[in-house]
Amino acid sequence: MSVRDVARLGLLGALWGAVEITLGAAMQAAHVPLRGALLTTIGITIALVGAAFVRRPGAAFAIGMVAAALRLVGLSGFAISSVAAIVIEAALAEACLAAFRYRIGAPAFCTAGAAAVLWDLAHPALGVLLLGGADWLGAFWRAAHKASAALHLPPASPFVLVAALALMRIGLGCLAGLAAWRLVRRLQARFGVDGA
Amino acid sequence: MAPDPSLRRPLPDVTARGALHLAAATLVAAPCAQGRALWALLAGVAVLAAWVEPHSFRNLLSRGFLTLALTMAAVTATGDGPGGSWAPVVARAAVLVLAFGVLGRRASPSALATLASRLRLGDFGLALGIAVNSLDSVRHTATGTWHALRLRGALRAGPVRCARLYAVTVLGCILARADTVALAAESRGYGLYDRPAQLRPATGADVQLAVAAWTLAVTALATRLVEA
Repeated sequence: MSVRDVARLGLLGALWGAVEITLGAAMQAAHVPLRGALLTTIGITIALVGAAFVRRPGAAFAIGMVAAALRLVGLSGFAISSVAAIVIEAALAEACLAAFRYRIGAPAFCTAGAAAVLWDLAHPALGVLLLGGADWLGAFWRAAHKASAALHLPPASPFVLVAALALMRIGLGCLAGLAAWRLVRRLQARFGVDGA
Repeated sequence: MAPDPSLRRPLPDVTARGALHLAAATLVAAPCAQGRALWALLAGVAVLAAWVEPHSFRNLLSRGFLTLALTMAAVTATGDGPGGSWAPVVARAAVLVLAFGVLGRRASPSALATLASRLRLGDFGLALGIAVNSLDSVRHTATGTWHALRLRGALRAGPVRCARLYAVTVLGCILARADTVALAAESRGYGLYDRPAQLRPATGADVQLAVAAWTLAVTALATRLVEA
């Protein structure tokens, strides 16, 4: 890997890390809903732009690892969870790009973005699964049904809620992929087709 | 009256190595530990955290950890819990929060970059080093670009166009800066000599912390195996 590629990975990873640290803190202070999904949308857009410019297997994952390392040393509270989330999201995006054989394009970017942002919904479940086992996931599901019954909502409402949240994240992820693709085309026009 | 700072106990000289051992050991042991072994693990990690980095206990007051604990308690109180208590789950989370709190306070970015270089991840070490050194300028670029667009009336162009202008400008600046960084590194002969980065040697406190952490982890795992 050339030094220029490594520098691009480092600087784009720094941008994702800066977004996580500064914008994440601001969103937390302002109690913005869907904070994790929004931060992942921005971060994965940066990683996909980096993957298009570096054009090496593992570029998106490396950018995520750099961002996670920066988040780790700025660690506070329960942020270990967000460090793990960044690593897994970057790995999912990388796996999707690999599934498309690194043919950079809107379909690959949309799939990678959707997979990464969708993980934001599954991540708390993984935490509960690791810390408490599968029984606790069932317990949360039963509690959700009980709460919907107490609120006189239809029995299917927990399913509908989870499906709606998943669809929202898939939409955000596709948006991130499309935005990354359009940004890549604009930046390639500025820097040359191969980013030179 | 505040106590004299000079009377405070000096913290042991634990580097990133020792903190990484503690984090790795708890990451292995915490999800598997059960029963008395789990409580012994929590007590041991709490003692180690109090010895190495007492400020890591503040992490237990974070919103994420308290949300987890209160949600678990509420689910158990409604009778939907899976038979057992919610306390072991929260104890496992507390073990990880304390161990990674120590790591977050003891590991510097440059130490992580050097560690990556020593683990033959030279490119990742360089990327992380560039990221650490450029973090401030990246933040400056991001905020400066925003203010420049705002002052030039870009906000009137609509949110989508404004966001696109902002993203293209910031990413363009960062890619251009990457070229500058690469030129500077190559002009200084980066990569000509395969000289491994020098990591600060392990201290006595590092060794003590690593031995204690892995002893706790192995004991917890062995207890789990014996009970199974």
